[in-house]
Amino acid sequence: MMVLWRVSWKGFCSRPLRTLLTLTSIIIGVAAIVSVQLSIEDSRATQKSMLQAVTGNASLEITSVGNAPFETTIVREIAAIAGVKVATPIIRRFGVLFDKKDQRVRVQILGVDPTMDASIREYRIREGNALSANDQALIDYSFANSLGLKNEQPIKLMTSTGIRTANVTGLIEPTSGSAAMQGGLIIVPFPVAQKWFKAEKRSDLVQVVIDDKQSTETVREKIAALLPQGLQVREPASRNEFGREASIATEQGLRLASAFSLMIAIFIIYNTFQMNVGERRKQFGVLRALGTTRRQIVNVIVLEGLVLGVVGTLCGWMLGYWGARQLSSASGALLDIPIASNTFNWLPYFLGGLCGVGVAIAGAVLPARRASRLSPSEAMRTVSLGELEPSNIFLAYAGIVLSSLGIMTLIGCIRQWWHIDFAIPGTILFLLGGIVALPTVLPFFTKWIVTIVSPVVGIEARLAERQLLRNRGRSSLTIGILFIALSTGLGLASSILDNIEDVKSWYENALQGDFFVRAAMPSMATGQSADMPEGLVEEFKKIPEVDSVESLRFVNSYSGDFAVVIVAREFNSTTRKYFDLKLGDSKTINADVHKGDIVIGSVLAERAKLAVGDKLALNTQEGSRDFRIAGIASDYMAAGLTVYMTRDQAERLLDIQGTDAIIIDAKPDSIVIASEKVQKIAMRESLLFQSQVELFGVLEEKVASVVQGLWAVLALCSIVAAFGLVNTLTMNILEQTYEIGMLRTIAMARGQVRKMIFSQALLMGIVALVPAVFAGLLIAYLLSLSNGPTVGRPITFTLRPQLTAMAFVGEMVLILLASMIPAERAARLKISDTVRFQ
Amino acid sequence: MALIETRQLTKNFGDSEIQVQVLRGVDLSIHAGEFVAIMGPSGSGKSTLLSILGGIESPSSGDVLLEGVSLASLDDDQRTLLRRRRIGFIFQSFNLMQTLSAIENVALPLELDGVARSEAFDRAKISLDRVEMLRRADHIPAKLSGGEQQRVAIARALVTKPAIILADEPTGNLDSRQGGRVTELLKQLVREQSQTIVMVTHDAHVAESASRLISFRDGVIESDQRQLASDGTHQGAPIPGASQ
Repeated sequence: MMVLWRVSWKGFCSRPLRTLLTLTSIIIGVAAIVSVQLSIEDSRATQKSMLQAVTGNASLEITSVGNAPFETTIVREIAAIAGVKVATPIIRRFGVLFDKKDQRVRVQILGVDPTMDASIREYRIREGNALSANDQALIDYSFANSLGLKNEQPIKLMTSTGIRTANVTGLIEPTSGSAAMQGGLIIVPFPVAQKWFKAEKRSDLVQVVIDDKQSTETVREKIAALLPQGLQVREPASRNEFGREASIATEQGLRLASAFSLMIAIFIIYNTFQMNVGERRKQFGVLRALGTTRRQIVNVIVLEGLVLGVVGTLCGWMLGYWGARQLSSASGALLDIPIASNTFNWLPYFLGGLCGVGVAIAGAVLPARRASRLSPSEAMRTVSLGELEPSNIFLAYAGIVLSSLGIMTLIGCIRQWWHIDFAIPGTILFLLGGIVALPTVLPFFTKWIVTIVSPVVGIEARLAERQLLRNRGRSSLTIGILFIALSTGLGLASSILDNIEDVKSWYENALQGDFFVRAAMPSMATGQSADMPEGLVEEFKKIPEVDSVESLRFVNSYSGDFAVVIVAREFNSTTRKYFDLKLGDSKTINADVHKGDIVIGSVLAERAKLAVGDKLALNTQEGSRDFRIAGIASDYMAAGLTVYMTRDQAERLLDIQGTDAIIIDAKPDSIVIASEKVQKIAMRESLLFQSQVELFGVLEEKVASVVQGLWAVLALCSIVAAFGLVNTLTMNILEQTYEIGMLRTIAMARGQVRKMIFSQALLMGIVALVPAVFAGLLIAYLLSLSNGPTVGRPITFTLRPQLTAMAFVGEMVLILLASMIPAERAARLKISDTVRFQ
Repeated sequence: MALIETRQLTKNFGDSEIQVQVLRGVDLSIHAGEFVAIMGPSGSGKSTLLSILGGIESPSSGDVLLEGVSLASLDDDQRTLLRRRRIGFIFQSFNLMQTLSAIENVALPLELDGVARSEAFDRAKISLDRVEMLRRADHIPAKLSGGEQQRVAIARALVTKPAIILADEPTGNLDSRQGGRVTELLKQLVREQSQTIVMVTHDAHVAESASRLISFRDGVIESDQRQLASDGTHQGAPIPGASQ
């Protein structure tokens, strides 16, 4: 075996380019999986840890229905219930931390009882001391590091009562998963938080830890029986689920792109091994004649696969780690949380390794078995690979079956018969079916294309066609790679642009106003910003140049078991557009809302299967109450799980207090003066002032950061496809070396050799790209339909002739550019090296 | 004037450390209508000479003149055109394009030269007819016997009406019956069309068919003799001025 391995090793060394191309394919495939999976896992872990940092080990939480603070007297009674281990009041608010450069960082401020907190959150003091005085604060170690904050430094925070300062007394880090903390969490003593947020003698929630022996449900029932009207007890509110919902669409896009990258990589790896083994047929024949057994031949080829797989996987892991950091940074920008990888997550590496090594071995096994089955005399005979790759009508049937299964899976996802996650395997099955059937139907396509192009290209096109058909299996794989690259690229690009249009339509319709004043940019996941000082609305109203002032408040609530976000505002105007209304009467919608109706987000409508005119039950101070739905709107805040109602109604029924944002309209001819006056007050209170143009600019930046991430993955797909093409054409040339030499000997000029190789690329390009355009548009259409479960409604599919034409031409140019190196290589072949007189 | 002649042809292989001199100053003149057989042991330089005569390989020094044109003065494209139009090649392993039919293989040099497909096919048919392969015109090489493949290769070499045919062991892969038929065909081309042929062979029996026999050893011409043709002329007579 060692002798055989030495033969293989020399094979690697004598073909460095081929070895490099195979390795690169594995590396890119593994990197695509690791980066996307790691970034998704990190993003989810961060969101989960943010939740756990707040909820800790608490099994139950008591809140008011509108999240308003309530009297803490109830805490003692709850603590006395059998089965309750700890019951402690908490203040939980969003605030703004001003960093060293006075930049705003949105943080979550937790007011806790330091003596009780250890029972809920498990963390250790990495630097400094525990809370012991009222002017002290604890900050997460990683978060402090990211801002350059040191222990014992003073920090400046914006609260409901204005700017407050505290001294950092300790930097904390989690000691267990349940207390894992990432992002902007600041812990201060409970009485201090009460004071900062005007909640004296009250708390925002009570966290309850239950004795392990007790059933949560039993204790929950006991607590519920004690609670007065307006308070509710639930398992910890997973507000971060909104973040998760918000990132579902992005994750789907990334997964799709990663799946296609992997699929392309698999094709390239299989293709490379097939060519590798085909080229060494004679060598295997000699080895067999010398007494090498079939098993030994298989083993050595599989061992080659294993070695390449392991090396490729190791490099792919590194590249994937780097890619994940880039993607996480883009996702973090979307969700407004710093996503960091503090814990080692083995799953993406395991999946990447499995695919890298597994695919390399699988890619080697089939050609290895083929090689081993040949008798020594057969193997040494000069036989084209084409003889080893006869067309098979069963492949065509298999292809049709696979594509049909893929389409059925996609229809199932669109109709929501099964989970949207099946859309990716469905799309892959659909495309795979087309590729499996391709070798059988390839001659029909190429014949037509050659008939069309041969008057221009000439005999070289016919020679190119014959060469492609001779190795139709390999040609089909390459065509498949190009087909997937364009169809996926076009499909995803179209879908991304459709989504961008949809987001723009949303904020242009829903975010109307001349000026926006906030403590900080809101979280896209929950809409919540940070509490602003009270009395500002009244102060803005007093400015003579101001026409209208509206305050917005986002509050977590429930409709039955659905977590929703209530958005309360005044809806002053009867004519203004407040929503990106998808269903409902836009002329009467404002009046309907004033009558007590609500408008809900499309995701909520989809999840709860609600339509205009239906009733939505909400938990209120007066118990559960039904609200008539007057309209369904597209909403990208709080993942579309939103319920819009008038502020008056929200204050009355839900005891909603505070303000997340203030929207101001100036009188038509006084915008400049109004802007100056509003800005002055905002500056005085250290608030964030934005004009509509500035706000839209910020939103566009956010969208752009996500889009850039997706474009990057698409670029990766194209690069992988280009690699595949260069790989195949180079292998084609290696295999055709003798023939090219012979053609050069009898009649062919260098320019004609180039033309022949370009023709091969052109033929593969046309066969791949024409159907890929249609498949890409179909994918885009299906993706727009499949937005139902994530966005709550299909996003309008727009046919973009310019993008389609650019994608087709761009890919064709890429194909022709990629064929330049192999074409030049073929043209430069030295005839005497290729055809020696024998 | 000689159809093709070489002047002090040398050819070295290898790098500066290990250099092998394959041809050591070969002077050779071949006239139109001659059927020249080149014999010699393996490594004697005969195949290298054929490569250089065909413009496939460049000599280390010296020159080749085909119809008075120095190959050294031509660039790659000009040499390709020369090979395409003035030289026909016949290989031991036939070297037909496996994906093309017999007629497509024969028409290939014409089509690559810009001749219209229909005209190229008409001329290919004539060429195939000459080697008695017209009835097998639509067969791909894999469906033909070795002898048939070699006859298709000869038809391809003839289709451009070349000044000279360079044949490398044309019977080397054939059995004696098929080999005899190919040899007879070559003789017929010389006899009936005054086709000039230079053939490398190991087979003394095949070499006997030629009108001139050149023996190579260690990169030099060991002997150069006219052979007795069927009419009894020139057999065994040394060629004046041949390099030794």
